[in-house]
Amino acid sequence: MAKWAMVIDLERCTGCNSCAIACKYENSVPIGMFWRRLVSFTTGEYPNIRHEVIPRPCMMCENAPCARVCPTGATYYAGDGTVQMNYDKCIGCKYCMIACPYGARQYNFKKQEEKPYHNPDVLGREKGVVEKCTFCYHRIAKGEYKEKGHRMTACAQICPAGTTVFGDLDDPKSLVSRLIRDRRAVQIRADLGTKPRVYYLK
Amino acid sequence: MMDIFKYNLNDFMPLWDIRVAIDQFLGALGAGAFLAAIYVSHYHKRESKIGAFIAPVAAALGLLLVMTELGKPFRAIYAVLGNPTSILNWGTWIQGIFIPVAFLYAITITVGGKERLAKTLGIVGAFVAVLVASYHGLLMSVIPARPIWNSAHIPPLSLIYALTTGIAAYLILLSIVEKRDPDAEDTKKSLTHIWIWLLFAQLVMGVAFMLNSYWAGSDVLRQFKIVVGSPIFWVGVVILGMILPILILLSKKPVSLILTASLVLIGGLAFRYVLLDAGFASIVYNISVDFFP
Repeated sequence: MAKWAMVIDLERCTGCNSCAIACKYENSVPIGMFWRRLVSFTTGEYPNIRHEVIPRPCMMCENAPCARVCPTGATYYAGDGTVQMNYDKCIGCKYCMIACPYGARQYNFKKQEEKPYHNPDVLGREKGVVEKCTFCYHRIAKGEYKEKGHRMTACAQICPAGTTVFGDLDDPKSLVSRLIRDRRAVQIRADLGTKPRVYYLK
Repeated sequence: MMDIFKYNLNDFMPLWDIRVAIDQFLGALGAGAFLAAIYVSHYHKRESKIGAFIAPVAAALGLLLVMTELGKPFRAIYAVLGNPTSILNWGTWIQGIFIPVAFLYAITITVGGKERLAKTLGIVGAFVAVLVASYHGLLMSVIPARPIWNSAHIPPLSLIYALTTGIAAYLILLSIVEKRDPDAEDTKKSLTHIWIWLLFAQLVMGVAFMLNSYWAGSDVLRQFKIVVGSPIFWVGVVILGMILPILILLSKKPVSLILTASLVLIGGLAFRYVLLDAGFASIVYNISVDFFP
């Protein structure tokens, strides 16, 4: 079984938002929500100001706080290194959103509007359930959408700068495995003990 | 300083709104009133009935209110036999036991006769009531993503607030319902004696929690500043909820007991709301802190 992981090289990221849009299109994410979002900050004091952008998908933690606190077991470990949602079991208590340190989880406050295109591979979500990034589970499970022989999430496929790399941690020769051995590799809030599977090169 | 572009709806909506604060307040109030009723039942059987009836009614009201907050309330049964590592799952069990037990206890002592049954129900109920009162704090204190909640102070604070607000509700009802009864006066007197000390303990524990949060590091301090910057905290929790009731009780002026107890109730609700609200401002900070410490 594979262990899927993602590496995001912040030195390459231009902040073009195409991954966020590709994700929305691929997963039919409604207005006002992002499964993969670009968190942006302005840091520093004038005149030494920097504008920073950090793409934030679901971190697919090995020790996920959301799966720990979900009262119904709607959030579960899928076994391939991802954390997935069972929309039929979710009661909408939002405890997982409170537990997630990354804000990766999105709640359907409203009924999702009809979209001109809905990806038939992706499950629809009702009002009152929580949803989040699935690491494009439908694409990966099918094994289609390969680029250079590798399975790809929508965000990794669209990225024009090659910022986002998706791959298998169990394969020591994969690009992801090589990149996380880079000393620039960090995990966000690793101090919380979540063991995220999304690595950033800073 | 960090400026943030706000464009994701979900990050800036309060995930748990005031209904959850009221649920925590009412559930804890019920548990506190139950414990007070058990205490009173050793002296005045007749007066203990009122407290015993507050417990299931308040706890059930809170539970109903929080059900309206769920996205899918009709699936709530899944939470009972769900994931045992979740505190919310424990909470469904604890409250699911507490409400019927408290209700049966109230019925038993009202009907009278079955002393042994009442005693058993009282012991079980008192045990579960302590769990209910602490559970609402435990629910918040196990979340490392919300630093100000992630403190061992929260469950005991929740427990002490349960006791003070429970006794306050009890005293209000006693003053309204049992006006002419001499035993009621006696009950009120003995409850007020404990109440002063509990209010003191609440003040000390509250100050300890605030000092602890102030010195617990930068991420807690950020949320601590939200708490101390809020007028609800200063007016509701500190002045109305703590200082004024203690001053009134110590000065022994003939101020109505109903007023004092209402102040404590306001303080209890304000405390839940302020603490709940302060937790919801950590996401962007969490993401940025590893890159711009």
